[in-house]
Amino acid sequence: MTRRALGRPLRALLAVGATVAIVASVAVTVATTTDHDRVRDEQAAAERAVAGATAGRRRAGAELDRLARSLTDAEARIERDRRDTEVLERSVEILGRMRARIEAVEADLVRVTTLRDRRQEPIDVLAGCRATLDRAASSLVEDLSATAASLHLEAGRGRCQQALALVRGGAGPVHPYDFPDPSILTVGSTSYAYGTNGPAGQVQVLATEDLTSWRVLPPALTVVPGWARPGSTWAPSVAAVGDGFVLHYTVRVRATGRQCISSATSASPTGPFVDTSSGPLVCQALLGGSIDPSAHRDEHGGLHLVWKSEGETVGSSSGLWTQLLGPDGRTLLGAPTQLLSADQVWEGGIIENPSMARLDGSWVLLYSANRWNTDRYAMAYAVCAGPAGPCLKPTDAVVRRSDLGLQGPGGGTFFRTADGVARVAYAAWDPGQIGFPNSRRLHLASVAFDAREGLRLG
Amino acid sequence: MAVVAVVAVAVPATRHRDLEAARDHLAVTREEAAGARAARAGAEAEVAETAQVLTATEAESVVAARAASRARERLARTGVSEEELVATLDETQRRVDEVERRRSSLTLDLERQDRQLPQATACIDRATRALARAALAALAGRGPPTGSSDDCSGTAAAVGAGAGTGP
Repeated sequence: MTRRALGRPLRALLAVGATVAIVASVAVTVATTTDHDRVRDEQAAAERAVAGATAGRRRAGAELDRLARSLTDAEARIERDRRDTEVLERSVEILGRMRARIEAVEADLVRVTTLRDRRQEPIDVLAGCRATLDRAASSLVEDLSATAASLHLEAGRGRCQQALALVRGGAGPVHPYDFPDPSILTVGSTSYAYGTNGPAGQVQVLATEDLTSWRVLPPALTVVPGWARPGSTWAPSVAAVGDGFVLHYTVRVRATGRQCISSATSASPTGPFVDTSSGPLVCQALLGGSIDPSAHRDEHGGLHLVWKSEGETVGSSSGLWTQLLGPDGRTLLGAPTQLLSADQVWEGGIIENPSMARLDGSWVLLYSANRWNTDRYAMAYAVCAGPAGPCLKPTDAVVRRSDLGLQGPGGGTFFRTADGVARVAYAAWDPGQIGFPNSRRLHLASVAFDAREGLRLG
Repeated sequence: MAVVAVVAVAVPATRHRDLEAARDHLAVTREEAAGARAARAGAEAEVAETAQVLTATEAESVVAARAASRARERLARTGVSEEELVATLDETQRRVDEVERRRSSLTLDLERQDRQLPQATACIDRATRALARAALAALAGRGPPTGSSDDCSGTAAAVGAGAGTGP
């Protein structure tokens, strides 16, 4: 009974306990389940957050990739454009610089070409003249042809006149070649100049209509008579006589070596003159010979010959003479008359190359004095009572002497231009170029004379 | 009765362990979420920064493009197309070389003239004297004279060779 009595409450107690335990267990389980559900929800939210953030980061990454590509593209464009800009700007700059260079150099080329051409002109002129002189020399040396030489000289005359002006400077000679002892005859509108032997022959001839440009003609005399020695013909003078012309000239006698005067005739003032003489026209053997003939007419038409005696070659002094010529111009009438002697210190014992003209009613005798191949050579004058003298030298007789532009002027002769004006032709050395084989060049001078002032050459 | 008790104890315990495990997992996941958000924020910041750089770069690109365009316009004003540029530069350089060569040639001409003028001047006197000797010998019927202007013969040749150059 007791056991039974005790078992019943215990069983009840145990049942209550079990019930309580079950209830508690259920309650705990329910609570736990609730928490678990909440945690699961939170877990899901957290996982969504992870997914969202991951997706956001992925999108950002994609955007970043896109931006990076864009950036790369932009940078590439910048680099390309900058490179293009640099290349183009540099090219434009280089092109501009090169074009400017071309323009500058071409402008310089024009300037330098002009300068070169201007500087080349005188060289070409000088070379052309030298070629002319060489061709003339070749004709003389190889062909012994003064005629051919004269043609060469005429062909190159203009250049040589220019060359002479370049070499010597300034105005001066009217002819570029050697032309000593000139005399001039005017026929109609043409003036003919005759000169001592030279490159253009035994007797050189020039012609002009303007007294400025003198054409070289073939030699007026090509053959000397048998009694004369070729190559020693000097101081020619031509006069119109009748229908023809008479040449008076100096020639060396072959037998004696003495210089004397002969004559030749021609129908033309340009020759060829022919000398048929058997001996000299004038030859003052005791006075050393006779040279430098010059014919002139008096107011009555009479033809007179003036010349020089070569006294200085035989220990004396020279003199100037005159004698009337016959109507043929080749015969002497009467006796010779001495017009002047070399009596002045400056003359050095030598007077020569006489030329007489009537100026302003007075007879004026032009002559040269001293050594022909020195700078002391000069021209002077005397006033004469008539063609046969007597003549008187004025105190200041010298009318042309060496100066800065010429040296040793001499061989002067009077002539008349086509319009009747008296002038003087003479020859002179270029400064510093005195004596053979240098050239004596042809000069012209105007003439002024009156009894009180005397003779003056312009 | 005992079974009930065991079950009553075991079930809540099991549920509790499961809850703790879920909580742990949640904590991990939350950390992971925080990391992902931070990563996203970093990426977005980088995007923003890159976008800024891109904007600046695009602006720079526009400037560069304008500069290139201006350079092309300047080139066009020179009358040269971009395609012909290299050929034009080469051709222009050849022209530069050509005009320089011509000027150099002219300079040589001037130098030659400096030498020739005094020589040609002196030759006139030498040739004149040679001619006088030739005349004297020829008119007298003698042989060739001594002395000539042969030493001047180079002048004419040189003058001839030099003439005619330049533009």
